[in-house]
Amino acid sequence: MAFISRCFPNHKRPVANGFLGFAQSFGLVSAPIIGGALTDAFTWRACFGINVPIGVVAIAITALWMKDPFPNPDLELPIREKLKRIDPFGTLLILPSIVCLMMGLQWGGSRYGWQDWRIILLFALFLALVVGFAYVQHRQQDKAILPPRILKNRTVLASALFTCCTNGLLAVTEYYIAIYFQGVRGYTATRAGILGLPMIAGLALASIGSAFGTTWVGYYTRKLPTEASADY
Amino acid sequence: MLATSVLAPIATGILTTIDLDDSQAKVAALLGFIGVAVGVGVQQPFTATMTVMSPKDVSVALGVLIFGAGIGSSLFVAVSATLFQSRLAYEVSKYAPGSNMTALRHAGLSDIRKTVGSDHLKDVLFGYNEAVIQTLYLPLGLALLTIVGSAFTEIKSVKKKRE
Repeated sequence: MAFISRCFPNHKRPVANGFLGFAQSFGLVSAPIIGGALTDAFTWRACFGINVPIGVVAIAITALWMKDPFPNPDLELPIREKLKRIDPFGTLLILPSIVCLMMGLQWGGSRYGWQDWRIILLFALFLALVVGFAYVQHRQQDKAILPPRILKNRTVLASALFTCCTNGLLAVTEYYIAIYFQGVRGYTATRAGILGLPMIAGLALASIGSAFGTTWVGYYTRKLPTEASADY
Repeated sequence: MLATSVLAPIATGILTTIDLDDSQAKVAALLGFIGVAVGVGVQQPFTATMTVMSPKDVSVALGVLIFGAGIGSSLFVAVSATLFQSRLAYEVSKYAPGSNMTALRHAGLSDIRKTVGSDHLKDVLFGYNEAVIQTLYLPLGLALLTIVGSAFTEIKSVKKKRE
Protein backbone atom coordinates (compact mmCIF):
# COMPACT_ATOMS: atom_id res chain seq x y z
CA MET A 1 0.00 0.00 0.00
CA ALA A 2 2.88 2.33 0.69
CA PHE A 3 3.92 1.38 -2.80
CA ILE A 4 0.76 2.65 -4.40
CA SER A 5 1.29 6.11 -3.01
CA ARG A 6 4.79 6.17 -4.46
CA CYS A 7 4.01 4.69 -7.85
CA PHE A 8 0.79 6.43 -8.79
CA PRO A 9 -0.06 10.11 -9.06
CA ASN A 10 -2.81 11.34 -6.73
CA HIS A 11 -5.73 11.02 -9.11
CA LYS A 12 -4.99 7.41 -9.99
CA ARG A 13 -4.53 6.24 -6.43
CA PRO A 14 -8.17 5.57 -5.55
CA VAL A 15 -8.49 3.05 -8.39
CA ALA A 16 -5.17 1.44 -7.52
CA ASN A 17 -6.35 1.16 -3.91
CA GLY A 18 -9.63 -0.25 -5.09
CA PHE A 19 -7.89 -2.99 -7.04
CA LEU A 20 -5.76 -3.77 -4.02
CA GLY A 21 -8.90 -4.03 -1.90
CA PHE A 22 -10.55 -6.16 -4.55
CA ALA A 23 -7.54 -8.49 -4.58
CA GLN A 24 -7.67 -8.71 -0.78
CA SER A 25 -11.37 -9.48 -0.82
CA PHE A 26 -10.84 -12.06 -3.54
CA GLY A 27 -8.31 -13.76 -1.28
CA LEU A 28 -10.81 -13.64 1.58
CA VAL A 29 -13.61 -15.08 -0.54
CA SER A 30 -11.55 -17.89 -1.98
CA ALA A 31 -9.92 -18.77 1.36
CA PRO A 32 -12.87 -20.64 2.95
CA ILE A 33 -13.48 -22.56 -0.27
CA ILE A 34 -9.84 -23.59 -0.73
CA GLY A 35 -9.53 -24.19 3.02
CA GLY A 36 -12.65 -26.32 3.05
CA ALA A 37 -11.45 -28.38 0.10
CA LEU A 38 -8.04 -28.87 1.71
CA THR A 39 -9.61 -29.88 4.99
CA ASP A 40 -11.74 -32.46 3.22
CA ALA A 41 -8.91 -33.78 1.04
CA PHE A 42 -6.08 -33.90 3.62
CA THR A 43 -6.35 -32.59 7.17
CA TRP A 44 -7.00 -29.11 8.54
CA ARG A 45 -3.25 -28.78 9.00
CA ALA A 46 -2.89 -28.52 5.22
CA CYS A 47 -4.49 -25.06 5.48
CA PHE A 48 -1.35 -23.78 7.19
CA GLY A 49 0.95 -25.66 4.84
CA ILE A 50 -0.45 -23.96 1.74
CA ASN A 51 0.72 -20.58 3.05
CA VAL A 52 4.36 -21.56 2.53
CA PRO A 53 4.41 -21.84 -1.31
CA ILE A 54 2.10 -18.81 -1.60
CA GLY A 55 4.48 -16.77 0.54
CA VAL A 56 7.48 -17.88 -1.53
CA VAL A 57 5.73 -16.90 -4.77
CA ALA A 58 4.75 -13.51 -3.31
CA ILE A 59 8.33 -12.78 -2.25
CA ALA A 60 9.63 -13.82 -5.68
CA ILE A 61 7.15 -11.56 -7.48
CA THR A 62 8.06 -8.64 -5.22
CA ALA A 63 11.77 -9.13 -5.73
CA LEU A 64 11.53 -9.50 -9.51
CA TRP A 65 8.92 -6.99 -10.63
CA MET A 66 8.52 -4.29 -8.02
CA LYS A 67 10.58 -1.20 -8.68
CA ASP A 68 10.66 1.61 -6.14
CA PRO A 69 10.76 4.95 -7.98
CA PHE A 70 11.93 6.79 -4.85
CA PRO A 71 14.53 4.69 -3.02
CA ASN A 72 14.28 5.14 0.73
CA PRO A 73 17.30 7.17 1.92
CA ASP A 74 17.30 5.19 5.17
CA LEU A 75 18.41 2.08 3.26
CA GLU A 76 21.95 3.48 3.13
CA LEU A 77 22.21 3.76 6.91
CA PRO A 78 24.65 1.45 8.72
CA ILE A 79 23.09 -1.62 10.32
CA ARG A 80 23.42 -0.22 13.85
CA GLU A 81 21.37 2.85 12.94
CA LYS A 82 18.79 0.67 11.27
CA LEU A 83 18.39 -1.43 14.40
CA LYS A 84 17.81 1.75 16.36
CA ARG A 85 15.08 2.69 13.92
CA ILE A 86 13.11 -0.37 14.95
CA ASP A 87 12.72 1.41 18.29
CA PRO A 88 13.18 -1.54 20.65
CA PHE A 89 11.95 0.34 23.73
CA GLY A 90 8.78 1.52 22.07
CA THR A 91 8.03 -1.96 20.77
CA LEU A 92 8.82 -3.52 24.13
CA LEU A 93 6.27 -1.24 25.77
CA ILE A 94 3.45 -1.28 23.24
CA LEU A 95 3.24 -5.03 22.61
CA PRO A 96 2.69 -6.15 26.24
CA SER A 97 0.34 -3.22 26.82
CA ILE A 98 -1.93 -4.49 24.06
CA VAL A 99 -1.73 -8.04 25.38
CA CYS A 100 -2.80 -6.74 28.81
CA LEU A 101 -5.73 -4.86 27.32
CA MET A 102 -6.89 -7.88 25.31
CA MET A 103 -6.62 -10.27 28.25
CA GLY A 104 -8.42 -7.84 30.50
CA LEU A 105 -11.29 -7.48 28.08
CA GLN A 106 -11.42 -11.19 27.35
CA TRP A 107 -11.47 -12.29 30.98
CA GLY A 108 -13.36 -9.37 32.47
CA GLY A 109 -16.99 -10.17 33.12
CA SER A 110 -16.72 -13.76 31.94
CA ARG A 111 -13.95 -15.75 33.63
CA TYR A 112 -13.41 -13.23 36.43
CA GLY A 113 -15.64 -10.40 37.59
CA TRP A 114 -14.78 -6.82 36.65
CA GLN A 115 -13.71 -6.14 40.23
CA ASP A 116 -11.34 -9.11 40.33
CA TRP A 117 -7.75 -8.09 41.19
CA ARG A 118 -6.45 -9.82 38.07
CA ILE A 119 -8.59 -7.68 35.78
CA ILE A 120 -7.76 -4.46 37.61
CA LEU A 121 -4.06 -5.35 37.50
CA LEU A 122 -4.24 -6.00 33.74
CA PHE A 123 -5.89 -2.65 33.04
CA ALA A 124 -3.47 -0.84 35.34
CA LEU A 125 -0.53 -2.47 33.53
CA PHE A 126 -2.04 -1.50 30.20
CA LEU A 127 -2.33 2.13 31.26
CA ALA A 128 1.18 2.25 32.71
CA LEU A 129 2.70 0.69 29.57
CA VAL A 130 0.81 3.02 27.25
CA VAL A 131 1.93 6.06 29.20
CA GLY A 132 5.51 4.74 29.08
CA PHE A 133 5.17 4.19 25.34
CA ALA A 134 3.86 7.70 24.80
CA TYR A 135 6.79 9.10 26.79
CA VAL A 136 9.35 7.12 24.78
CA GLN A 137 7.75 8.24 21.52
CA HIS A 138 7.78 11.84 22.68
CA ARG A 139 11.46 11.64 23.67
CA GLN A 140 12.56 10.07 20.39
CA GLN A 141 10.42 12.24 18.11
CA ASP A 142 11.29 11.33 14.52
CA LYS A 143 13.20 8.20 15.43
CA ALA A 144 10.23 6.71 17.29
CA ILE A 145 8.18 3.81 15.97
CA LEU A 146 5.21 6.19 15.87
CA PRO A 147 6.60 9.69 15.36
CA PRO A 148 4.29 12.16 17.18
CA ARG A 149 4.47 14.42 14.13
CA ILE A 150 2.44 11.87 12.19
CA LEU A 151 0.03 11.05 14.99
CA LYS A 152 -0.81 14.72 15.37
CA ASN A 153 -2.10 14.83 11.81
CA ARG A 154 -5.86 15.12 11.95
CA THR A 155 -6.53 13.02 8.87
CA VAL A 156 -4.30 10.18 10.04
CA LEU A 157 -6.04 10.02 13.42
CA ALA A 158 -9.52 10.28 11.95
CA SER A 159 -8.74 7.70 9.28
CA ALA A 160 -7.26 5.31 11.83
CA LEU A 161 -10.38 5.64 13.98
CA PHE A 162 -12.55 5.05 10.93
CA THR A 163 -10.71 1.89 9.87
CA CYS A 164 -10.69 0.73 13.50
CA CYS A 165 -14.49 1.02 13.59
CA THR A 166 -15.18 -0.53 10.19
CA ASN A 167 -12.83 -3.44 10.84
CA GLY A 168 -14.30 -4.06 14.26
CA LEU A 169 -17.77 -3.89 12.76
CA LEU A 170 -16.94 -6.41 10.02
CA ALA A 171 -15.10 -8.81 12.32
CA VAL A 172 -17.80 -8.87 15.00
CA THR A 173 -20.64 -9.16 12.47
CA GLU A 174 -18.91 -12.01 10.64
CA TYR A 175 -18.24 -13.82 13.91
CA TYR A 176 -21.73 -13.59 15.37
CA ILE A 177 -23.55 -14.20 12.11
CA ALA A 178 -21.62 -17.48 11.96
CA ILE A 179 -22.80 -18.21 15.51
CA TYR A 180 -26.34 -17.28 14.52
CA PHE A 181 -26.32 -19.58 11.49
CA GLN A 182 -24.70 -22.50 13.26
CA GLY A 183 -26.10 -22.11 16.75
CA VAL A 184 -29.55 -20.62 16.33
CA ARG A 185 -30.35 -22.02 12.89
CA GLY A 186 -28.38 -25.24 13.24
CA TYR A 187 -26.65 -25.06 9.83
CA THR A 188 -23.36 -26.78 9.07
CA ALA A 189 -20.11 -24.80 9.08
CA THR A 190 -19.90 -24.93 5.28
CA ARG A 191 -23.42 -23.63 4.80
CA ALA A 192 -22.81 -20.83 7.31
CA GLY A 193 -19.65 -19.91 5.40
CA ILE A 194 -21.48 -19.73 2.08
CA LEU A 195 -24.29 -17.63 3.59
CA GLY A 196 -21.66 -15.22 4.91
CA LEU A 197 -20.28 -14.62 1.40
CA PRO A 198 -22.69 -11.81 0.38
CA MET A 199 -21.05 -9.52 2.92
CA ILE A 200 -17.59 -10.04 1.48
CA ALA A 201 -18.86 -9.83 -2.10
CA GLY A 202 -20.68 -6.56 -1.32
CA LEU A 203 -17.55 -5.25 0.32
CA ALA A 204 -15.38 -6.05 -2.69
CA LEU A 205 -17.78 -4.65 -5.28
CA ALA A 206 -18.56 -1.46 -3.36
CA SER A 207 -14.92 -0.79 -2.64
CA ILE A 208 -13.92 -1.00 -6.29
CA GLY A 209 -17.02 0.95 -7.33
CA SER A 210 -16.29 3.77 -4.91
CA ALA A 211 -12.68 3.77 -6.05
CA PHE A 212 -13.68 4.57 -9.61
CA GLY A 213 -16.23 7.03 -8.23
CA THR A 214 -13.58 8.91 -6.28
CA THR A 215 -11.33 9.21 -9.28
CA TRP A 216 -14.18 10.22 -11.53
CA VAL A 217 -15.61 12.80 -9.14
CA GLY A 218 -12.25 14.16 -8.10
CA TYR A 219 -11.27 14.60 -11.71
CA TYR A 220 -14.34 15.90 -13.47
CA THR A 221 -16.27 18.13 -11.10
CA ARG A 222 -14.30 21.27 -11.67
CA LYS A 223 -16.90 23.66 -10.32
CA LEU A 224 -16.60 22.31 -6.79
CA PRO A 225 -12.91 21.58 -6.39
CA THR A 226 -13.03 21.02 -2.63
CA GLU A 227 -16.46 19.53 -2.17
CA ALA A 228 -15.96 17.23 -5.14
CA SER A 229 -14.13 14.62 -3.14
CA ALA A 230 -15.77 15.32 0.20
CA ASP A 231 -16.76 11.71 0.22
CA TYR A 232 -13.40 10.15 -0.43
CA MET B 1 -16.49 7.73 4.20
CA LEU B 2 -19.58 9.82 4.86
CA ALA B 3 -21.66 7.38 2.81
CA THR B 4 -20.45 4.56 5.04
CA SER B 5 -21.27 6.53 8.17
CA VAL B 6 -24.81 6.98 6.88
CA LEU B 7 -25.44 3.53 5.38
CA ALA B 8 -23.63 1.29 7.85
CA PRO B 9 -25.73 2.20 10.94
CA ILE B 10 -28.89 1.52 8.88
CA ALA B 11 -27.59 -1.84 7.67
CA THR B 12 -26.27 -3.01 11.05
CA GLY B 13 -29.41 -1.67 12.71
CA ILE B 14 -31.69 -3.80 10.53
CA LEU B 15 -29.47 -6.81 11.16
CA THR B 16 -30.29 -6.64 14.87
CA THR B 17 -33.89 -7.55 14.03
CA ILE B 18 -33.10 -11.10 12.82
CA ASP B 19 -34.92 -13.90 14.60
CA LEU B 20 -35.39 -17.65 14.56
CA ASP B 21 -37.71 -17.83 11.58
CA ASP B 22 -36.29 -15.28 9.14
CA SER B 23 -35.67 -16.51 5.62
CA GLN B 24 -32.11 -17.18 4.57
CA ALA B 25 -32.51 -14.74 1.71
CA LYS B 26 -33.32 -11.89 4.10
CA VAL B 27 -30.27 -12.48 6.26
CA ALA B 28 -28.01 -12.96 3.23
CA ALA B 29 -29.34 -9.76 1.62
CA LEU B 30 -28.77 -7.83 4.85
CA LEU B 31 -25.20 -9.09 5.02
CA GLY B 32 -24.71 -7.97 1.42
CA PHE B 33 -26.09 -4.55 2.35
CA ILE B 34 -23.61 -4.27 5.23
CA GLY B 35 -20.82 -5.28 2.87
CA VAL B 36 -21.77 -2.56 0.39
CA ALA B 37 -22.27 0.04 3.12
CA VAL B 38 -18.82 -0.55 4.56
CA GLY B 39 -17.15 -1.22 1.21
CA VAL B 40 -18.08 2.22 -0.10
CA GLY B 41 -15.82 3.82 2.50
CA VAL B 42 -13.33 1.16 3.40
CA GLN B 43 -10.50 2.23 1.08
CA GLN B 44 -11.04 5.93 1.48
CA PRO B 45 -9.12 6.56 4.70
CA PHE B 46 -6.09 5.15 2.89
CA THR B 47 -6.67 7.37 -0.13
CA ALA B 48 -7.15 10.36 2.17
CA THR B 49 -3.94 9.64 4.05
CA MET B 50 -1.99 9.21 0.82
CA THR B 51 -3.34 12.52 -0.43
CA VAL B 52 -2.63 14.48 2.73
CA MET B 53 0.76 13.14 3.86
CA SER B 54 4.10 13.85 2.23
CA PRO B 55 5.72 10.89 0.41
CA LYS B 56 8.29 10.55 3.22
CA ASP B 57 5.65 10.09 5.92
CA VAL B 58 3.13 8.08 3.98
CA SER B 59 4.39 4.62 4.91
CA VAL B 60 4.43 5.34 8.65
CA ALA B 61 1.02 7.02 8.44
CA LEU B 62 -0.39 4.01 6.62
CA GLY B 63 1.18 1.86 9.31
CA VAL B 64 -0.85 3.79 11.88
CA LEU B 65 -4.00 3.07 9.86
CA ILE B 66 -3.24 -0.62 9.55
CA PHE B 67 -2.50 -0.71 13.28
CA GLY B 68 -5.91 0.87 13.87
CA ALA B 69 -7.52 -1.72 11.61
CA GLY B 70 -5.86 -4.63 13.40
CA ILE B 71 -6.72 -3.25 16.83
CA GLY B 72 -10.29 -2.74 15.63
CA SER B 73 -10.81 -6.38 14.72
CA SER B 74 -9.00 -8.00 17.64
CA LEU B 75 -10.16 -5.59 20.33
CA PHE B 76 -13.83 -5.69 19.43
CA VAL B 77 -13.93 -9.44 18.91
CA ALA B 78 -12.58 -9.74 22.47
CA VAL B 79 -15.16 -7.23 23.73
CA SER B 80 -17.96 -8.98 21.88
CA ALA B 81 -16.95 -12.38 23.27
CA THR B 82 -17.31 -11.06 26.82
CA LEU B 83 -20.58 -9.39 25.92
CA PHE B 84 -21.97 -12.52 24.29
CA GLN B 85 -21.00 -14.83 27.15
CA SER B 86 -22.71 -12.71 29.77
CA ARG B 87 -25.79 -12.07 27.63
CA LEU B 88 -26.05 -15.76 26.78
CA ALA B 89 -26.11 -16.76 30.44
CA TYR B 90 -28.69 -14.09 31.21
CA GLU B 91 -31.01 -14.62 28.24
CA VAL B 92 -31.03 -18.41 28.27
CA SER B 93 -31.81 -18.56 31.98
CA LYS B 94 -34.55 -16.01 31.36
CA TYR B 95 -36.29 -17.89 28.56
CA ALA B 96 -35.41 -21.43 29.59
CA PRO B 97 -34.97 -21.43 33.36
CA GLY B 98 -33.15 -24.42 34.78
CA SER B 99 -30.89 -24.92 31.76
CA ASN B 100 -27.44 -26.23 32.52
CA MET B 101 -25.33 -23.29 31.37
CA THR B 102 -21.97 -24.98 31.85
CA ALA B 103 -23.05 -27.91 29.68
CA LEU B 104 -24.41 -25.51 27.07
CA ARG B 105 -21.22 -23.49 26.99
CA HIS B 106 -19.07 -26.57 26.56
CA ALA B 107 -21.36 -28.18 24.02
CA GLY B 108 -20.13 -26.01 21.15
CA LEU B 109 -22.28 -24.65 18.39
CA SER B 110 -23.18 -27.77 16.49
CA ASP B 111 -24.04 -29.85 19.56
CA ILE B 112 -26.54 -27.49 21.18
CA ARG B 113 -29.42 -29.51 19.82
CA LYS B 114 -28.06 -32.77 21.25
CA THR B 115 -27.26 -31.30 24.66
CA VAL B 116 -30.52 -29.49 25.20
CA GLY B 117 -33.01 -32.07 24.02
CA SER B 118 -36.15 -31.29 22.12
CA ASP B 119 -38.53 -30.35 24.95
CA HIS B 120 -37.23 -26.87 25.62
CA LEU B 121 -34.91 -26.46 22.65
CA LYS B 122 -37.06 -23.65 21.26
CA ASP B 123 -36.70 -21.61 24.46
CA VAL B 124 -32.96 -22.10 24.65
CA LEU B 125 -32.57 -21.12 21.00
CA PHE B 126 -34.73 -18.06 21.62
CA GLY B 127 -32.37 -17.00 24.39
CA TYR B 128 -29.40 -17.77 22.13
CA ASN B 129 -30.87 -15.59 19.41
CA GLU B 130 -31.45 -12.74 21.88
CA ALA B 131 -27.82 -12.98 23.01
CA VAL B 132 -26.58 -12.83 19.39
CA ILE B 133 -28.79 -9.82 18.68
CA GLN B 134 -27.57 -7.97 21.72
CA THR B 135 -24.00 -8.66 20.68
CA LEU B 136 -24.83 -7.26 17.24
CA TYR B 137 -25.55 -3.91 18.89
CA LEU B 138 -21.78 -3.57 19.15
CA PRO B 139 -21.27 -3.33 15.34
CA LEU B 140 -24.16 -0.86 15.31
CA GLY B 141 -22.34 1.32 17.82
CA LEU B 142 -19.15 1.07 15.79
CA ALA B 143 -21.03 2.02 12.63
CA LEU B 144 -22.31 5.13 14.39
CA LEU B 145 -18.83 5.95 15.67
CA THR B 146 -17.39 6.04 12.12
CA ILE B 147 -18.99 9.48 11.75
CA VAL B 148 -16.26 10.90 13.99
CA GLY B 149 -13.61 9.60 11.61
CA SER B 150 -15.52 10.79 8.55
CA ALA B 151 -16.11 14.23 9.97
CA PHE B 152 -12.53 14.92 11.00
CA THR B 153 -10.81 13.72 7.85
CA GLU B 154 -9.50 16.68 5.90
CA ILE B 155 -11.30 17.28 2.67
CA LYS B 156 -8.81 17.52 -0.14
CA SER B 157 -9.29 16.96 -3.81
CA VAL B 158 -7.43 14.07 -5.36
CA LYS B 159 -7.45 15.96 -8.66
CA LYS B 160 -4.43 15.76 -10.86
CA LYS B 161 -3.71 19.49 -10.81
CA ARG B 162 -2.78 19.40 -7.13
CA GLU B 163 0.48 17.65 -7.85
